Amino acid sequence: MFAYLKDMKNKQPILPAAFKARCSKLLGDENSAFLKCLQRPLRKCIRVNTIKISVSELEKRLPFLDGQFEWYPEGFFINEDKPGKYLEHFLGYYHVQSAMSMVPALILDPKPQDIVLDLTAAPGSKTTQMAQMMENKGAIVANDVRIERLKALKSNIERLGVVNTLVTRVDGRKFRLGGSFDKVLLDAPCSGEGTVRKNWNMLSRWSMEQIRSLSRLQKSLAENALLSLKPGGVMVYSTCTHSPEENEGIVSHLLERFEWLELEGIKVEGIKSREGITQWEGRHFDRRVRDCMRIYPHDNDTEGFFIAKLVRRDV
Amino acid sequence: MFEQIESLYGIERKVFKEMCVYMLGKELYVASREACDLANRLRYRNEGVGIMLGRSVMGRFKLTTNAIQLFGRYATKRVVEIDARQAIEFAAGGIIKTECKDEGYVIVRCGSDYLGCGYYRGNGEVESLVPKKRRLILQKDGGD
Repeated sequence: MFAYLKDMKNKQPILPAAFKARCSKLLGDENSAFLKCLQRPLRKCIRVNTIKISVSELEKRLPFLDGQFEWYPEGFFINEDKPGKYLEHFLGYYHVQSAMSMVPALILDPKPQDIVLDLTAAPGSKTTQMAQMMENKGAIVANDVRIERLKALKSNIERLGVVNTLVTRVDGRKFRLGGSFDKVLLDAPCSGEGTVRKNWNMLSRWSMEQIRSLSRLQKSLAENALLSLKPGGVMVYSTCTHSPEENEGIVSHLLERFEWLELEGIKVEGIKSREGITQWEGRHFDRRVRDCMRIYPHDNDTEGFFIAKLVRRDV
Repeated sequence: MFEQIESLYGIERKVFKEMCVYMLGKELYVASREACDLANRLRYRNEGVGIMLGRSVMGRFKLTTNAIQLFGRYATKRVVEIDARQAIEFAAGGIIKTECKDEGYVIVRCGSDYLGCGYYRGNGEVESLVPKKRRLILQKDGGD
C-alpha cells in the first residue's frame, strides 16, 4: 500500500455538519454516494509536458502509469505516491496535476498566437498546461498576488521549460489591461469543497462566512477579468468547489451585469458532468447558468470542479 | 553573448530566431516575442519573462540547467555523455567520474536527456551545478 494511503487509513475527512446538510440539499438521493466517495483518497495523475517530450516517448519510460485519460491523451492516472522522485520529473517531462484541473484549460483552448491572461495563476499547473497547448508561443500573463505561491509558479515554469509566460504580482481585482486578451482563465480562489479527497483537512475552516467572503472576492475578480478581454474574447471561470454561491451565483451575477456577455454550453466527451443549477436556497439564478459544467467527485472518481465558458459578444 | 554561446557550445543563433532574447544585468533571458512585447506594454513591474538562458561568470558563459534541458539538444561542443546511473547522481547534485576534453562549464547529457550544467576541472570529475532547489531528491521520502 502506498505511504499516503497508509497515513490516511485510520483517518476520516473533516466534514462540518453544516457542509453535509448543504450537500444533502444539493445532491438529494446521491448524497450518500458523494459522501462515501470523499472517504477515498484521490487518485494521483500526471500531465505529459509536450514542450519537452511526446506522450508516446514518455509512456515507454514511466513504470507507474495506470491509464490514459479518455478525454485528454496527455493526462494519465498513476500508481506511484512519490512521482517527484523520478529523473523524468527532474527533466520536466511531466507535471503532477489532478485530473479535473486539466479541464478548464481544455475548455479555454488557447492557440499558439493567443494573448492569454491567467489571473490567479499560482502554482502554475494550468498556466504551464496552456503553454504547451500554445506550443510555447504567443503570450500568457501569469498573475498572482501571493508571493509564496509565485515562487512555486516560477519554479514550475522553469522546470517545464515554458518561455511564453510573463509573471506579474498584482491584486487580480485591480489588474488593468482592458481589452487586451484573447482568452482569460480565472480559476478563482474558492472554499475547495471539491478537493477534500486530496486534503482531508481542507474543510477544517469551512464556514458560510468564508463562502460569502470568497463569493465577494470571486465577483470582483471575475468582473475585472471579463473587462480584460478583447471583444469576441473567451473567459473560463472555474473553481474546485460545489457551493452555488461561488459558482452559478457568480456566473448569474456576471450575466445580469454585462449584457454583452454570453454563456456557451460545454461538454467534454468522456467526462460525466451535470448542468448548472438554477435555484438554491430560495435564490433564482439566470436560467442560462444551466450551460455551466458541474462535476462531482463520485461522477468520475476524481476531485470536484465547476467550469463556465463566457464569451464577450460586443464589437 | 550569442557569439559566446555559439563558440563555446555550438548552439547557433538561429535556434532563438523566433524568440526574444534579452539581457537583465549580467543575465541573459529567452522568451516568446509576444511575451516580450506584452511586457513592454504592461504598466506593472514583471516578476520574470520567459526563462534565464545563462550568465557570464568570470568571462565564461554558463548556461542554466533549465536552458540546457530546453536547448541542450542543439549543442555540438562541450557535451559530456554519462550513463543512466550517473544521470541520477548528477540530477541529485553529485560529482560524476568521467573524462572530458574541455575544462570549465559543460553540458551533461544521458542519451537524449539533457540534464544540466556541469563543471569539469580536468581531474576526471564533472561536478553537477544543478541548483539545490532544483535537484532530484533521492531519499525514500522525497518527491512531491
